[in-house]
Amino acid sequence: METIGYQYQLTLRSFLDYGLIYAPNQVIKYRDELQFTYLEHYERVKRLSNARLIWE
Amino acid sequence: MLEWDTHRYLEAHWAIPLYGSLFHTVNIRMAPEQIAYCINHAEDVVLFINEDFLPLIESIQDQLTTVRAYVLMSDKKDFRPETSLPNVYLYEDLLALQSPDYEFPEISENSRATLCYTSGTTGNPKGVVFTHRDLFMHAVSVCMTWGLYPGGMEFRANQVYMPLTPMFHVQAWGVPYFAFMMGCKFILPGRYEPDKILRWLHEEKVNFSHCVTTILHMLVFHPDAEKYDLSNWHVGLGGAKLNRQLAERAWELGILTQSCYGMTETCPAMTLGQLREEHLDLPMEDKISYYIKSGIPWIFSRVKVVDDDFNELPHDGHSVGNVVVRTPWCTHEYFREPEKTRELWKNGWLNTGDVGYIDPEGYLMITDRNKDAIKSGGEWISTLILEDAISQFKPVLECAVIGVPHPRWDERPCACIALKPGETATAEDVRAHLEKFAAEGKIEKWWIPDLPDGYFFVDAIPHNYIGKIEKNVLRQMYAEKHK
Repeated sequence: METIGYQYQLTLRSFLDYGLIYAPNQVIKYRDELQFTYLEHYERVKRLSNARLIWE
Repeated sequence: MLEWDTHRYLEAHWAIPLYGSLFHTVNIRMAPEQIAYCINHAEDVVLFINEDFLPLIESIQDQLTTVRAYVLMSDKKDFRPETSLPNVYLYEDLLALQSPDYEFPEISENSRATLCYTSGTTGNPKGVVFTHRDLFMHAVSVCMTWGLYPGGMEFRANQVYMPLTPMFHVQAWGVPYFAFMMGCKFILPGRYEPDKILRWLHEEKVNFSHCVTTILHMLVFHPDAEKYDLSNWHVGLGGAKLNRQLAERAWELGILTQSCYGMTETCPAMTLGQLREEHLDLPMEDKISYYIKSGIPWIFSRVKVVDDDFNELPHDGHSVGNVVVRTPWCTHEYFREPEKTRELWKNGWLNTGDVGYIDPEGYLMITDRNKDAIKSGGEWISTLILEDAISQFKPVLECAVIGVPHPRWDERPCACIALKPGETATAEDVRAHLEKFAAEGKIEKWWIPDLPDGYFFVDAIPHNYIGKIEKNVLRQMYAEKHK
């Protein structure tokens, strides 16, 4: 059957996207050592995603 | 990935499944040869390794058949390790070199996302796979169920969240995914150190965690526990049964605890000790009776108890049978193990291997986890109920009941008991304590372990990495003693 519209896929993407919409400046703290905002965290996620090209 | 609960783990939890790869979260508590088995069975291509696990991987590198690259991770800024591994990259250098621009590909919700291995009592570890859709539905249900009523767990937007069940174990219950969605502040503890965890709980005003019972035990009985304000902390408990003693001790410190029953294959949610409308005004002591139950299903979860012919048993509070479940997130496959998958899904329901009953209010009570059940003279004895009764005896720090061979009854229960430091108690004292429970009808009189061999005092009760009591180790210790 022909698909009309958009078949929204239930992937983890939705959780990541909504956190960035709702609380982009919220923080992720790691022990007493480091702190990132959600936006900074997202940037690191994207850098890590690009790194896959090295071994693929 | 072999890593503690760090920001790096969270980064990989998004990146790897979202660019369409399968993310194997390696169980770092397994023996090195089991870890090698899992990495080869999963056909891992790249290994991300915290420096603490570098010696372990170096020791098995010759056995690894599919790994093409190793990415090393450390908290140190000037991390320059010496290693015998080939094709090594450093995580921070790798990130620094890459572009921050990336578009995630469109992937199917039925793509495999995560893989974690679980060790059974026999045979090789089995790889449990979850798809994006499984993780999505699990998160939606958990989020809704914990938010059902005010005054309960109430996991909501902008709370302060600290995971205390490891990220390698069923994706930390998937909570990081939706904690991010809800804009929660994350406090990531790295390697678990009770002193530091207590301080962070207080300083950061952490108000939500999922935790294994052994870690909670360590925290609430810690000598410094009362120096800290833990009064807004809500904790979902898994790994092993939450007993009344632990729940009450936690409440003395103002900590709200709730039992969550599940297993790796169920992602892990199945049931939870959730209150209903009519329980909301009860005194805390009575609420705790519900909080520590295996409980009622999470939203969308279907649970039933069946006999050996797969007939559903009545909700009468005493018909004990096999617990089976269907949810929109249970694993569809043990990775590359079609036979074991069929066995798990016999009759179209996921067979948990646990036994229990459902009471007239609809609450499930697990009476025994897989293989721990005791059959004495043809009748079941619930080790979990006995353990709960024994743990309410004040000098007892922790206890575990095992079945030991008996010439007449096949098996009799034996209570393995670790006492609190400085406390003393004899087998007779414990027996007298249990006789009170029997007189009140809380346990059967014939369940009470026999003197003298039914009471086995040990220095400490052994646990595995997720906090489950290692009853097989206790059985060996008992056998050694009675050789």
